[in-house]
Amino acid sequence: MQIQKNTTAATKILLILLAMILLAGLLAYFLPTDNGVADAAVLKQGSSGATVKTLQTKLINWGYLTGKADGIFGSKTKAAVIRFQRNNGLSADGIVGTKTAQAMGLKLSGSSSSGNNSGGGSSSSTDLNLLARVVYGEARGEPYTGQVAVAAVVLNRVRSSSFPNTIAGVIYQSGAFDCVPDGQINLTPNQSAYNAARDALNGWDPSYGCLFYYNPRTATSKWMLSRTVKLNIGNHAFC
Amino acid sequence: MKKNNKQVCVNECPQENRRNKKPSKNKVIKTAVFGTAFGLCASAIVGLSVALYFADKTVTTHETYQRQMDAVYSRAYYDLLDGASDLGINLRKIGVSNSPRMQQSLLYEVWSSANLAENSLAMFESNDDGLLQAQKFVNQLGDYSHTLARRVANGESLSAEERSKLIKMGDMADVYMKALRQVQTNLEDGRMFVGEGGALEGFADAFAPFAEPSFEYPEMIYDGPFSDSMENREPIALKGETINELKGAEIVVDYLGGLGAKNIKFIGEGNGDIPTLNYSLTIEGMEAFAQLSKQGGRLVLFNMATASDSEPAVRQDAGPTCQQNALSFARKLGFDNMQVVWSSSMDGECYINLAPVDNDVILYSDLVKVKVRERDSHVIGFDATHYAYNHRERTIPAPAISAEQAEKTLSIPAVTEGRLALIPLNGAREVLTYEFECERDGTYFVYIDALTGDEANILYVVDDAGLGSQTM
Repeated sequence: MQIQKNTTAATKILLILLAMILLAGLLAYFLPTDNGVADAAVLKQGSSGATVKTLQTKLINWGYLTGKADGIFGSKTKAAVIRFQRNNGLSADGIVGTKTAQAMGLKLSGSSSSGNNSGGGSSSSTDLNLLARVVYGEARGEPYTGQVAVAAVVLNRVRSSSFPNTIAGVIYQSGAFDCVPDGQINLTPNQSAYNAARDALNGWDPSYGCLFYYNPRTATSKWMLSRTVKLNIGNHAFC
Repeated sequence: MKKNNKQVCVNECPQENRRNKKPSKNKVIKTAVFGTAFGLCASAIVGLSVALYFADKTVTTHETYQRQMDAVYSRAYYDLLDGASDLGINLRKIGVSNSPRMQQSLLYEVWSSANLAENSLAMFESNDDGLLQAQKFVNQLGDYSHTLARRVANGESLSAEERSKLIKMGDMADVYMKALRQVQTNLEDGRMFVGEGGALEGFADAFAPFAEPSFEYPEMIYDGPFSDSMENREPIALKGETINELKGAEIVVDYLGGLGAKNIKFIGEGNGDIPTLNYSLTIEGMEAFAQLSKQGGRLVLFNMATASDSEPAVRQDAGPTCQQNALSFARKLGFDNMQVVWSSSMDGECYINLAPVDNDVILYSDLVKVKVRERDSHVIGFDATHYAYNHRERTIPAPAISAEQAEKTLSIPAVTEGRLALIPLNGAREVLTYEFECERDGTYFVYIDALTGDEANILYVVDDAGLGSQTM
């Protein structure tokens, strides 16, 4: 009789433990976590883009990674980065920050370009980077001219008396661009975004002076929708 | 037989027998169910406490961020108050001052206070007509005062019209202060800026008077970058008859056919400062975009995407061919007498600026820009908006000094002969100058006013890693 009692008690305890583990597992999965808002200028699991592709190509060439460079930083890429970091005496955390990037000879967006500026030039590189990030965050699926137009809207606002007078002031003005609060401004831009930003800085403006734009299918602000649309490019109406 | 509610058995008691027997199937199931239920409850409690702990941590972090954000907005608001109150006071003082030196110093103060107010107001969200107008007021006021200050510094005095405009702006600064004070009463109630019911929510409403149709905003036409004449420009160079989309498509074929343009499709009209007909097309398989002016059918803008996975082909020797191609492309489009005035290359793409030459004077205001791909010297972009806004028949005065005399005023050695150039300054003003390229630890372009001999402008060439060489 004793043995049977113990068995039943043991089963109970086992069941309780199993249930607790299950529940804890479920909660850990659903607890609020960092939802993939990418850091500026750091590549880690979840990142994607042209720089990730370059990273993967390098890792493949050096034998740390097998397969194709698809531009998506997944677990295999992370493992390869860890192997690289271990072999090179870096802290093996699977995250490509400035130290790891330097060791790889990889250029991360937002990092200052090495040395051949004659002092005054860094401000326009920063402008180009900021503008490219806004274009990528706001219009990466748009036709190329739509991307140039978005960058031109930023510059038109700088020139206008009704908006802040610097590029950073316009971009980071509260409520101005959705890519700021939702973090997409911190993604690494692709070559098309840089080209579009550069064209706009050189004067191209397909909107001829527009200060606003919105996506008619997703816009909800009545005030924005009441403005006269001057032209449409891709999914954006410019006004 | 019952005694004390306890059944007393002698032998073979049924209960004892039951206890001795193996527990029945029902009981096992019951135990299992109870056990699981108990286990689930226990782990639910554990799990919930863990979750509560994390939630509490998150809420505390959230509140900290909210307070930090509030600090940022509060600082912006109080700086805005400071700037705005100084504005009103100084504008009144200018109204009563009779000394040019005092006026000049006060005008610079107004400019500085307006800058502070503008920087602080820029912090706040401005998707509101009243706020946009308030921001415009502060910017134009600062800009206008700066222009007047420079004129007074040069010995001119303020006209009656300018004085009255300054007084009117002083009145508007009062409306501005009233709007800000309204926000202040909310803050004194202990409300924060951010969050539910925060002062941010009513912030835009405070500026509603600026958006009233009865609000008399004076026309601000003056020589400055924020003047009304710079905000809404007219394409004065575009002449000729209005074309329709069919004719436009033919023109696009004519202009861009040589580049291999295909699939030309009309995608809509543009109603910005230059009314245009917009076409999408493909060139070498890449999407491209062309805009013709409705009036006259001139190509005002053309742009092409570059293949995303191709390595940019940088060629050091491509300069001359690219420039030649740019010139012949512009000529084909009807832009005659052009000369290359600037060229800078980046990532295998060359940006070339062309300017028309009229009687040996380079007209810098009427720029045409061409983008050429270095790999094969093909034109991949075109922009004639500056030309469209500015090109016209001009009567250019004869220079009062010679190029040699102008060169003598330079402080560093010139490497080119001076050439006549009409340059835009501070918005709408154009000045006839001699342009000299000079070298001293870097390349400078110095522009000497051809009528007065003063330095009109100095540009410095910067080699920018992202943009190629630029002048600043």
